[in-house]
Amino acid sequence: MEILQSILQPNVLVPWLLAMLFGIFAGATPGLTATMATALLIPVTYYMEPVAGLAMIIGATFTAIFAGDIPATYLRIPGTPASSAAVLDGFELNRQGKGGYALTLDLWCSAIGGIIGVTILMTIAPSLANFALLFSSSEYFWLGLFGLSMSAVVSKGNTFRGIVAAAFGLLVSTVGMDIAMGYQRFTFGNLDLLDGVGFIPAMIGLFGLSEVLKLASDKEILAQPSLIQTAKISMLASLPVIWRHKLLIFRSAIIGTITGALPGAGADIAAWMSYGAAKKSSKEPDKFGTGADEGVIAPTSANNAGLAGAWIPALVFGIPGDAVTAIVVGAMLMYGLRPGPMIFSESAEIVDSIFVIALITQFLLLIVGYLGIRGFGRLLQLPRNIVMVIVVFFSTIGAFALNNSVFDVYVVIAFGLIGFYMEKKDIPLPPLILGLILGPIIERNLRVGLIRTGGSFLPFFTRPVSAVLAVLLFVTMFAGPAIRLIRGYMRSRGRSNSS
Amino acid sequence: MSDRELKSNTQRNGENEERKYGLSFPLILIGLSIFVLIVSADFPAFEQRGQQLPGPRFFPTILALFLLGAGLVEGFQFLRQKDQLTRHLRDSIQTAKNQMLHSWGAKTVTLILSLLVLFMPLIEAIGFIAGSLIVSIVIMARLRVPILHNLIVSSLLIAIIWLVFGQTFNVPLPEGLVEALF
Repeated sequence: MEILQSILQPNVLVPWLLAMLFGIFAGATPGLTATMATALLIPVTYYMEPVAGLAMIIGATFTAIFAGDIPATYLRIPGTPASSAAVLDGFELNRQGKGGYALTLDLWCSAIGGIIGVTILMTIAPSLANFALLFSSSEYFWLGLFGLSMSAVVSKGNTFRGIVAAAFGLLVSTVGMDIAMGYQRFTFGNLDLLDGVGFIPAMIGLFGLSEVLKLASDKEILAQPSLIQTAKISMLASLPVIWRHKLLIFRSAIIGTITGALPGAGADIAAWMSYGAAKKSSKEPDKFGTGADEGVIAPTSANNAGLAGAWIPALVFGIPGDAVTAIVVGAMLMYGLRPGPMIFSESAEIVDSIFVIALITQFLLLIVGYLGIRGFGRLLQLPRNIVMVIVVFFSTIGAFALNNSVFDVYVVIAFGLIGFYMEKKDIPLPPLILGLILGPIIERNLRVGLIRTGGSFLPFFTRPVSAVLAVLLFVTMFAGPAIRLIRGYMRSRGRSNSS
Repeated sequence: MSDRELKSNTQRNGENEERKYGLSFPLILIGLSIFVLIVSADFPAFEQRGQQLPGPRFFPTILALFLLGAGLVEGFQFLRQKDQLTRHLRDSIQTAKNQMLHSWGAKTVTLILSLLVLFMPLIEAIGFIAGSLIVSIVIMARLRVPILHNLIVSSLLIAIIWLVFGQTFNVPLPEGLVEALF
């Protein structure tokens, strides 16, 4: 109660809400990520009380992760990497005139996912973090491959071409400095390529610019409003759907929290993992990618939960789960707090305040997020030809702003063209992004694991957690086709018997 | 079904089949994988205590070999279908290609891409505000935005981007004559 009283003071509440509004703006603007929003807030919070400063940072990050889904749904441009999975069905719903509905569903799921993630953070943080510490390179390799197997699952239509796109993404991820020897691969002397191909510019080009090019080639639809909203945006309309899919939300949030707790995984991988799991377990997997409610619910419940999960290793061991929590750990050090096992006894009050702030943020998110949906929706009532130009400019300048690099703008253009070509050839785009995200994780852990074992693959199968993950991967990949094959065989046998 | 509908359906099917079994995709895959194999052959080997371990070429080589295989499968699929397809599709594909090259949409896509490629050199030469204004006005004109709307929206858009990115987030947008006035 004392903690609640100290938090609900104007000197905490006002900057907290302002930071959440800033989070909406940063998350919804392509090129401004949740990481950037957090980093920009640090200097502002420097002179504040630790509780007020941490409230601003926590509020902005959770809000930015949700806000990334707003342009993802309305324009097919993920505002943050964690929103890339939400594009698939959110944008399809928007095409059907249900963009507002998709986003309110998304908002509820983000808040509920966040609450579940924070509750897990509060209750079983130390044991989950201990489990994450059991992971060595072989487990991370299998986890990466398991994530990549989702590309086969998330591919709409041609699975083979989906796997090819994932392999292409992995290949693009090898550009840059080699991890073990520091050797420059495929850079051709270009210094901009030393750090590899930027994931965010690639994503903006692949999803955003390619969509602009696709629309620009069709004269008739250009004059239509960009947002075809057939129903009034209502928070209550999506509640029955939420209730119907309560188990899916719960399961996605659990997947999100666990994935987020693994250092290096983060909210983006969490969202893809739970999307793939939801599609795999669905009775109607073909509906995914065509505007299915479950396709919105699964990734959006997972990404905010993943953010909460990333706090687990950050708080318990001082090991950040992703870039956002890395900045948060820095901010905590700035306030004289030392993340690690001792923080629970040395700064118990601050830790409790962090938990309560993270929990209340999920409720405030419902209000601030709703304002964001309405505001952004109003902007998109403009004709599509005008919105397309706005998107082009925000995409290119947003990409430039990431590293003040002209090269990133060319990455946007190149991937815009690649995305345009891929869509013409019915090649799914999401596996390419998944390959780009998971490429460094898979390669690093495969090579480090092989270097440790002197080139032997055996430990990749004999370590207990590795073995479980490997079995899970093979089941995910081959169980479906095997069952279909057996069913087909049984059916044809039955037919020949009856004839 | 009328002759016209039949012709249009054949053409649409032709485009779809060409999309599915087009030769460009396997050729790109094979070309890319051969390029990767050639370039990565020069990457150094990784040896520790006389033992060969996975070095910088290990992962790209595996991926290139996979893509090469995929390219061959796609190419084989195309060749297998070719005999049946050629007869039915030659005319419709040619028509579709002609339409692609000369259509309004293809020209618009080319214009947008060209302007984007020129965008950064242009704003570095004459400054962000002037350069962006020119590019925005040209694209909007091509997308048939009425001239008054075009001018108002372009000016507002550039002003907002300049204020948000340039002034609030201190992104070093190239400066020119217009920026010097502020």
